[in-house]
Amino acid sequence: MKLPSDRPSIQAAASDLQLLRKFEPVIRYTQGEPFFPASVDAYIERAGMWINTPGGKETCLVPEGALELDGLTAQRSAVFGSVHYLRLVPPLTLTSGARAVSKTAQRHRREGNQFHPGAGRLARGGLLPRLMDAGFSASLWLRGSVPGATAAAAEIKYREALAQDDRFVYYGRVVRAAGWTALQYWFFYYYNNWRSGFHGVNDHESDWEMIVVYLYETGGRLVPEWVAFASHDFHGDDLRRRWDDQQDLELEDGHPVVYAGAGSHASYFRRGEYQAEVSLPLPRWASALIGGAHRFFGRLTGGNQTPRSPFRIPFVDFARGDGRAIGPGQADGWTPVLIDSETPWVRDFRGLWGLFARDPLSGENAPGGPLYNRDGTPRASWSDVLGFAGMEKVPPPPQEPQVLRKEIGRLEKELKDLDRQIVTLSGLLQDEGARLKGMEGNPHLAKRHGTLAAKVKSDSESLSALRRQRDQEGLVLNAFRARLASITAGRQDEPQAHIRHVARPVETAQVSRALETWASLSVGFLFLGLAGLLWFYPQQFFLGLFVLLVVFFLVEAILRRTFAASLGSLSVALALIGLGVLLATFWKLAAIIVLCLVGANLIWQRLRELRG
Amino acid sequence: MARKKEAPDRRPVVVTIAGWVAAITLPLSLLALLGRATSAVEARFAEYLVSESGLEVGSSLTLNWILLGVMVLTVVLAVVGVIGLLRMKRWAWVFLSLLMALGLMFNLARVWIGYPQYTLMLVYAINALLLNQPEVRRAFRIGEKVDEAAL
Repeated sequence: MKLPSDRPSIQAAASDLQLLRKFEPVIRYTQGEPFFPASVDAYIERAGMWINTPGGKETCLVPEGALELDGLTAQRSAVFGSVHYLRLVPPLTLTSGARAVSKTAQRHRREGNQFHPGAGRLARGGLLPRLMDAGFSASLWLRGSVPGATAAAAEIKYREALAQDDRFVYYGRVVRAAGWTALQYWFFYYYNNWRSGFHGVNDHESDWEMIVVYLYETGGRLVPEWVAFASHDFHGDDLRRRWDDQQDLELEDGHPVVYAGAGSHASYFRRGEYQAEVSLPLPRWASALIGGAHRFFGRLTGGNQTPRSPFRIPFVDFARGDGRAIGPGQADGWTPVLIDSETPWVRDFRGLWGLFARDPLSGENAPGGPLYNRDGTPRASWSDVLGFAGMEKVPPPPQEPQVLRKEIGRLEKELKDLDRQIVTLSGLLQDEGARLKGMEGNPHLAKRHGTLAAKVKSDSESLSALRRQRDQEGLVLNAFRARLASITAGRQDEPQAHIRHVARPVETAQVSRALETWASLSVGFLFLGLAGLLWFYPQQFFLGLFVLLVVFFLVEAILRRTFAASLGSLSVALALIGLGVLLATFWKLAAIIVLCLVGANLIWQRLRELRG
Repeated sequence: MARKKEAPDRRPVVVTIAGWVAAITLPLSLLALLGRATSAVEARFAEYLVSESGLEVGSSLTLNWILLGVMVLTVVLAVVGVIGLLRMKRWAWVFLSLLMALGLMFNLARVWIGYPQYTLMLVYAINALLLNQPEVRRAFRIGEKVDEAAL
């Protein structure tokens, strides 16, 4: 197979480090991002090790400053249900927390490294998502979260480490399997401040992110074919893009470009703002009910019938790429560090790499290491580097024609065998048919005729089955030949033919300042309105609540410039409620009317039938 | 020259039906209500509003007159809206929808506090559903703007 002229390549005999350096990515961050890929050594030196035992008791095993990378590998026995975890930021007092927040804010202002969210995320959803958002914020008080000033304190620690060692590190791993050479790049961050810094879903100490470049060998050289970025929202095939996918994959001088989400550090192929929606987990019956109501309403008014949960919270992952860039050709380059399954700290530390916030939903708990999930089980992205991006079924390009030729050879042989069997059985059946005819009209041969007739039937069925099989195998053979011809001619599949779901940046929301302000303040006003109702009109609370919600709905509609449509939807909803009330009150009359109508219709139909 | 923001002249059958249903039912029901407005039920309703809400309107009789005035005004507005609807004016659709929504809200509230007006509620509900038939909405270009819903 010829070496693709449009792709970089490297000698197959190159060392792992050379391979990693050749295809290492360029990561572009968003303005205001405070954390960048760092060395784990410096992090460990600044962290302590703790254990959380069943019952919630937290004990410091190794104090801050006394831990080294080797210390992670020491075996520590503990009772079932215990969680070992590192802790970068010790518990903060109110004063130390406020000092940390103030210090980092001043630094951001001084350096001009401030984040401007633009159109508020809350304006991207309606009233219900905003109420859900308020509930989500309130849930953080109940379900355990990283304390408020931790992000600022972590940033100070990260800055101190960066002042001593200004390298930007990735941990590289090379895996060779099934004809592929997978280059895994792991990035370690001191902190994920998506929630506290960028109005996102969660905060947690430490963060591990990963991308993979898949290479195949041809003519003694390794050539890149696929690139996969790990993502929370996508799995398998959807994670990877082909090297020549110009729509999604951006390359800079032969290096893939990653757009990192601000605070979340999630990897995106394209620059932009990504809407991440967290939906309230509803019971199946409730989802079905909402979906049914949505479809019914849509059919009734001719509107959108696609069911969409109203109980969703809009979050935005900002991957604008307008901040620092790290990688080849950029102001800051990489320092690679090789790791594998035998690297002691990778292999032996199964605990969390930061604070265990005791969040039952896990979003605020720190992640495990590159090899392990939070619960200590192996990560799929480490243990099955091909399967994680749906690559287990994809042969390397030079192998595909070989596989197809082999299959074509096998099928051709099988078809010849089938043809032979068909000819033989066909001849046999004709013989049997002639014998059968010869026996007819002779009652004394009835028994033999019956036996032969049964055999003819069975052979006939076998012949039909053989012919069907031959046709099917023939179709498969033709498809394989066409595919081989296509590959040999150098034609390629559509680069995104394998993708089912794709993350696309949302259009930057163009909303008015009034809507943005309303979206930010409306839920607060609603709560104040409820308080006012309780104080002034406690007897008419529910009536007042109803009126209040309708007023909020109409204000929202006016600001969104969807007043007419929203008014229509509101009047339909009120009409349905009104009809429900009427039905409940006058059910007997309604039943009489329905029965009369059905009866009259039936009589009319039958009369027409009689006359016709 | 800027295109005048009015619906096309050709009137779909459903719009005619909706218009005539509204033309017949709305003024008739409101006029019927007007006739009943001086009845004991309405007087008690007015008394209830005065006593429960603490509205500074003088007396229940005054409030009853105010309610009567609102009804007369609604009849006039409904007639104007229906004429506009039959002449395919978009504002008329919005106007009648607003009237139906407010009327339904008011009537649901009356059910809640125990002074229901079921006939009028039925008339409003039927008219609201007719106005929101897909063909009618299309004819008046309602919901053409694809945007996040207010909910």
